[in-house]
Amino acid sequence: MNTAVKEIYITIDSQKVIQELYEVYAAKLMAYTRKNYNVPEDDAMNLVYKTIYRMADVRDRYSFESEQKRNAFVFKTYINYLRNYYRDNRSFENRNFEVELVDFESAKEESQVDTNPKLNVLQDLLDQMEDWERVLLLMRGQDIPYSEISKFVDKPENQLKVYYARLKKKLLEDMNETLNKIDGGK
Amino acid sequence: MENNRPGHISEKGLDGLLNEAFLNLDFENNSKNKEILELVSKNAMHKKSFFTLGRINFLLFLLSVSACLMSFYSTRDTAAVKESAYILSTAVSEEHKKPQDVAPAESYAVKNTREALVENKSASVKFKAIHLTKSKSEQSRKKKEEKIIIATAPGKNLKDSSLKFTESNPSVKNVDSLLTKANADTLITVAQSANRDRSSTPKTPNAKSSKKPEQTKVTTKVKPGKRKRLKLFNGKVKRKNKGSKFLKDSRGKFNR
Repeated sequence: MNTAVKEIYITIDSQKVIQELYEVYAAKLMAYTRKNYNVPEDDAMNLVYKTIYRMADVRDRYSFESEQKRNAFVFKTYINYLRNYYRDNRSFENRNFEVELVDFESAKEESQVDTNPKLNVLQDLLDQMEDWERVLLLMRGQDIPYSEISKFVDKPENQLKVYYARLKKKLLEDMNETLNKIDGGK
Repeated sequence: MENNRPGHISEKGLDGLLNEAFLNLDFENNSKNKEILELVSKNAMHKKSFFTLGRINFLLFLLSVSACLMSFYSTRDTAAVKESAYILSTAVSEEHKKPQDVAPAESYAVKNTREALVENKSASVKFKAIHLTKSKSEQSRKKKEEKIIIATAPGKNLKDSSLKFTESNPSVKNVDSLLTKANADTLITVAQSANRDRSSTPKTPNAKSSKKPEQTKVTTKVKPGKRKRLKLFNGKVKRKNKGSKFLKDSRGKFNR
């Protein structure tokens, strides 16, 4: 009897925590996903719920110095789920691709070697760049203002705008060139 | 499916790929990537609401400034209204007083005109006829009492005409300045001739009552700073002049 009461009590507490977390983070995470990633609404909501439930589960294990640290932790958890979603989604696409166009054997080999050639090309090109250039491109992709980025890369804010435009143009040209080479090689 | 086929990539596609590349960053081991993640989380999770502290302060400042301006202008307006009300009240009181003060003002104007006519021997009148008498000092000097009578227009007396004169020319304040010696001389001669006529006709100042067609009419057009000769049309004088031209015919009779 005592255990049953305890379980009910815990459930009510969890619901409260989940409700609070939902009120604080759900809208923000959804807005971030809508803005930066091309993820369907239902999938995005699913990811948000996953994050919130995960946070409710681990709430007793972690203690945070400040609200900002807590937010960063929640965001990191969400980013991990999003990364997993992309990975899973890509694998789903690969499975469909295998069934429709190529025979099972060759598709299996390809999936082992490469998941997303464009992303791999981009990663290669980003690795060739300087550190500040990579940071600028990635942070600007996340809509971080130039004033914040300038603190990271130690460059004037006005110059960063020019650098970003040039880098993006160069990256686009290099990517297309590399992708054309890959396409021509095949 | 399309992602697996390498080919041309657009700018939008590159943005999407950059976001995906951000997800692939190593946030566990790389401290710089951790900092980047914190910054992004700060940017994403701390969405600025409309009522930030700065905006609230700015709104409060605007409200206080507008309140100050309102109070200032309201006090200023009330002062202006009070002032205008005072002006209006004084104007209204003057308006009410005017009918009472009209009579002495008229008499003063008439007196001035008369004195000017007598002492300076000059006249500047717009009305058609004025009865003037010479002052006592002039009488003792010339030893002759002259009555300047100018036939008045029907239904008009001296008071009305003088009032009209002063009102029609508000710029003309001092009647003496307008009066000239030459005009006065002319008037005197006119008056003398009128006296002569009056001796034959009954002395009635109002021409309408006498109903005589032959009457002395004086018309003057005097503007401030301009002198004009009086035009005199006396029926009798005219006739005399006419008669003088054609004195007698062959039969020895006056031919008119």
